[in-house]
Amino acid sequence: MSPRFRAVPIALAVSMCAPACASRRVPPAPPDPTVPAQRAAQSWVHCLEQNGGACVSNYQQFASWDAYALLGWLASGSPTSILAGLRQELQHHRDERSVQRRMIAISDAAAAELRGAECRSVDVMEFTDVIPKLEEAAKARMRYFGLLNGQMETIIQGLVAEATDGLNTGYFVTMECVNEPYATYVAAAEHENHYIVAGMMLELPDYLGGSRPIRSRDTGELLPMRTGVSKATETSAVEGTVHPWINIVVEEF
Amino acid sequence: MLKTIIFALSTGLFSAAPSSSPAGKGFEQLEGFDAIVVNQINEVLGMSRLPSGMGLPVEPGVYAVITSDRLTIFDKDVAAVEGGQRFAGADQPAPESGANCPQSVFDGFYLVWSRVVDEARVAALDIPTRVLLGADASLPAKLFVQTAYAAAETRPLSPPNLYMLVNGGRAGLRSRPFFLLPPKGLLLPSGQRPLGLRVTMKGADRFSVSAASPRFGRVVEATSASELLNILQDVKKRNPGKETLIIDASEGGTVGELLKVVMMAQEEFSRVVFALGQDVIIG
Repeated sequence: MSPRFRAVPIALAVSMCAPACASRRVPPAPPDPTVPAQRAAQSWVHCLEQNGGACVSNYQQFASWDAYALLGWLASGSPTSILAGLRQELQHHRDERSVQRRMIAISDAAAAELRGAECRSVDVMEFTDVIPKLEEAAKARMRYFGLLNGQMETIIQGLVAEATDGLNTGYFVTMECVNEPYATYVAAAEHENHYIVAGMMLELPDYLGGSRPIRSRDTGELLPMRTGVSKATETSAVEGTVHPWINIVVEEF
Repeated sequence: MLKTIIFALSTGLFSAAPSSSPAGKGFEQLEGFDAIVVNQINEVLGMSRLPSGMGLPVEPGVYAVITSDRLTIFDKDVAAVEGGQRFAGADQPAPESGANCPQSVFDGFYLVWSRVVDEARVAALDIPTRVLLGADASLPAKLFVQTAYAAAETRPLSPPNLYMLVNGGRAGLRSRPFFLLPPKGLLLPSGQRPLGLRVTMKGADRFSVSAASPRFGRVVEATSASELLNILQDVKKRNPGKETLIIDASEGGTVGELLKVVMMAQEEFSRVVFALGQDVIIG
């Protein structure tokens, strides 16, 4: 477009606006709806650092988060564990107290990791965007494993409905941390006109493009597994004992 | 309401097999597990590319498949294979690996175990004790053994029970158990007169046979599978109580040849231990 033509709409806009603009104040921009959600997430992490699982109340949105977490497990968990544990996980999901106990346990475990991590909120995603992605990822993965039968589809649909029920006006808040674990993710859900934290996770799942850091950014060393497990490193086979690497009696060697 | 629907469905989920506990099934009885592994193999490799042989039924665990261009653990790609010969970054071993496994492979398994441990903690499940490895029969056996070491070195608590996945023909997918020499080698007490018999694969049907015990004498070379079998049968006659054969893949051979040696030697030596040059010392 030449400069002459470009100038025409601008001139028109100015002339149309002039009388109205002169007499009205420009209304303030509506508040960013993500800010209260981010504040809730930030407060939650601070509370966790001090009080761990004692920060957990009991909200009905926990069930929605639990449904969301179950979908996430289908979308990215090990198929061996899914086969072994899905039934009992669904039974857990039915039990409100079990859901709350798990939230407390996860919060306690996260508290230990987040103390001194210096996390701050850096990004938000709307659950209305995230849940459909999760649903698709869970279905695709179950299909890949040959597990997407009618029953599984109904379960996934039920979980999606439950997750949507409590989280659809909420946000998935990304918090970056200066120190390990470097990031944490908090679900802020709307509850009686304010935001509460309905759940959290310490790594961004695969279906949202996440990857778990396994080495320290500073030293390159492996980050410890969350159970603090140790390794057997023996090299000597001792008569009368079972070697951790070779379960063979020495006589047969 | 939704929870009720989900519960009603969950009580019937995977219901064809009996449950071992009120809470759910143990890893031993997972119905449908072998079908998942077969799906995965067909997706990335094809059953016909696995080495052919007899074996045990497949039991649940962590599974991984190595193709000519990648390593997948479950359904996730974790490392690239270059030219069907070596893992990408193979010259950069993980500093924590006693067996000098490539860092990509080592870290890939470490990540999988980390997640499995988390799942086990959250959902009160057992950490799998088995690792099942499938590989294209034409790939270097070294890739297979490196992968096994990475899986074993990264498992928390103790190394897993290891199995090679094989194409059992009409029997379908089968598995062969194997051990690994400890990453830094093995010291055997001399009291039970161990032999420490080792076949080192050199590639193209060439093998050398040696032993940790000085009474074995010099290294014997074999230039065919039948010659190797004769040597092993002869060793067995002189050492009837020995059941263990170390197969060293550090110098050559393919996955298919590795299984061939295992099956050929099984009458004489029922337990196989894979290695990548680790020493056995008697003392």
